[in-house]
Amino acid sequence: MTLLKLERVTRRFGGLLAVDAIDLNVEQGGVTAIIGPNGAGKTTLFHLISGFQTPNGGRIVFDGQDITGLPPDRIAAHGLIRTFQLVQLFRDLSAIENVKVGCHLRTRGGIVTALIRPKSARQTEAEVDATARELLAFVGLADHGALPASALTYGQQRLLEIARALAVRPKLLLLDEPAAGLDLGGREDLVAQLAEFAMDPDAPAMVLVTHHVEEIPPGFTHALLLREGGIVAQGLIGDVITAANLSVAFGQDLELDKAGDRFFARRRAGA
Amino acid sequence: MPTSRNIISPERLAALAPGLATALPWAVALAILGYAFIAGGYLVTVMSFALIYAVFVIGLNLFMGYAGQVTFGHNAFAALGGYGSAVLTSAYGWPPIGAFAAGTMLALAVALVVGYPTLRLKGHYLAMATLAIGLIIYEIAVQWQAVTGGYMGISGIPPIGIGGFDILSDRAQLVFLALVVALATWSAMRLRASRFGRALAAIAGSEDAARALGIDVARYKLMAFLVSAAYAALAGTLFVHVVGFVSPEVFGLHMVVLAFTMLYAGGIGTAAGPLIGAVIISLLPETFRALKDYQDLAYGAGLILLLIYAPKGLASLAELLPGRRRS
Repeated sequence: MTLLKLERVTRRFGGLLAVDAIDLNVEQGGVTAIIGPNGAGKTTLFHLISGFQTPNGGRIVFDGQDITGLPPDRIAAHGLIRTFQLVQLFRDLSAIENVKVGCHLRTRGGIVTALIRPKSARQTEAEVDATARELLAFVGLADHGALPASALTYGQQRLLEIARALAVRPKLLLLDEPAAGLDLGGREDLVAQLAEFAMDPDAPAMVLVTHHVEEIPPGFTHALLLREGGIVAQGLIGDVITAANLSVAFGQDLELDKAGDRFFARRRAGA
Repeated sequence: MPTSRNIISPERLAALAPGLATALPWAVALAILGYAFIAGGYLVTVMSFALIYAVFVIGLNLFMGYAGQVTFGHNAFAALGGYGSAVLTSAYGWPPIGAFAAGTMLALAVALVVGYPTLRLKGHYLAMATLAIGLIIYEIAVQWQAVTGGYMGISGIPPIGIGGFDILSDRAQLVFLALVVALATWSAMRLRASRFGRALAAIAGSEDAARALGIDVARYKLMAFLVSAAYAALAGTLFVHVVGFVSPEVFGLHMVVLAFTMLYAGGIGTAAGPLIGAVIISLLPETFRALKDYQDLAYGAGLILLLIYAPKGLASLAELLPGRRRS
């Protein structure tokens, strides 16, 4: 069953076509990688899907509902959660409180509940605490819960952002360059974590943006290759990630290695 | 018991230290208030003002410290609460509690009218709009002489009473105000420790991330604005009843400046900051009086030093003590 459907989604900035009539289908539980060079429209596409920007044309349907042009918080309420290219944590809050904010949509209660603190609210708070601890442990940050988010390493901050997104229990998780800025060890940790995730039937569907094929975790089944706002190739990952397609997208003669389920690309020697 | 010999082990002390650091600002504020109560006289008046300001700053802290927003016009809501109470009790014979409720409603209505359109916009629109509303309310207080008495103000406002008992003595007033501040602090702490408070802290941290997690940013900002306006209205009401007099100058722009000083010196975003800030800043003019012409200079220099070396204010000073730094 289709979870996310984009129909001819378009976004212009002045004369520039940043996203040009893109179609995309993501199945329930599906895992798709979006690849392309800088300026291909990957992040703009994420902004359009998550409501941070509004399309000039086209339609976005999520879980059977038209979400085109809705504000980000309303789209999040449908179960579509994104992360950011530059980590956007609540830096002064502790790691565990960051994850607890992720439980906002799943819980209820405003000012009156806060003041009276009825038994149901205390129960909810205990559940939120348990969920947050579980998720911190899941991404390997169990011992770092009390630290302010700003005190974590960049790699840990990336993982914390993912744990926080998972706290929403999303149906679809949009990951915008989750490995950007990580060192080799951090990148490999993250890829391994996401690979585990891609195989997990209980995990949400995922769409991951990257401009390095090395960062595509094993287990990702589909890919969308973009260049200058348009589609170069789309479909099963093995058909899309080829030396020929990558060479077109990145505008140079590239060769591609496959080791296990991972891709490695470089400029063809002598080209 | 085998564990008893470990009671003063370094580990135990280290575990106690955070608790002590948190308790210290409360203990200091309480000690000063206790001393004022015993000593009596002028100090009781100074501390009464400090406690009224503490209520105002607790509200300000909610909006500026917890939610990370800026307002320059909260004096308007104190004025609306204060004048509401003053007019209704002195001219119309309302009981203070009813007048307080009406004044707060008025302040909330104005806060809604100012906040609803401006809090939807990103940037400093709200700060500008609040600055304007502060000036407008001041002008109204000056010009609408038939109701406000203009520059002359309103005098003969009855003291606070509960169920027919008027709180008349200075000491009784101090105790009453201390209870109000305790309640205001308690409610602010409960708000911060809830889902509501977490949403505010999220907005302060990153509006984009908050939105991406499903928080309706404009709505939560507006709620924080209204709650803090209610604290301001309460402070305004308390002021007119305690002093028995109100004039436009009472709620002028200097109120904002003084409250900002208290908030930042005490520790913005901390639970104890508003109280300790209000108490210490209220004492400073007395302390620096010996310096005569240089008192403003010393005051300013002291504030700058505090903000450089303890950006989280007096409430977090204890955390800066040696041995408290971990890893």
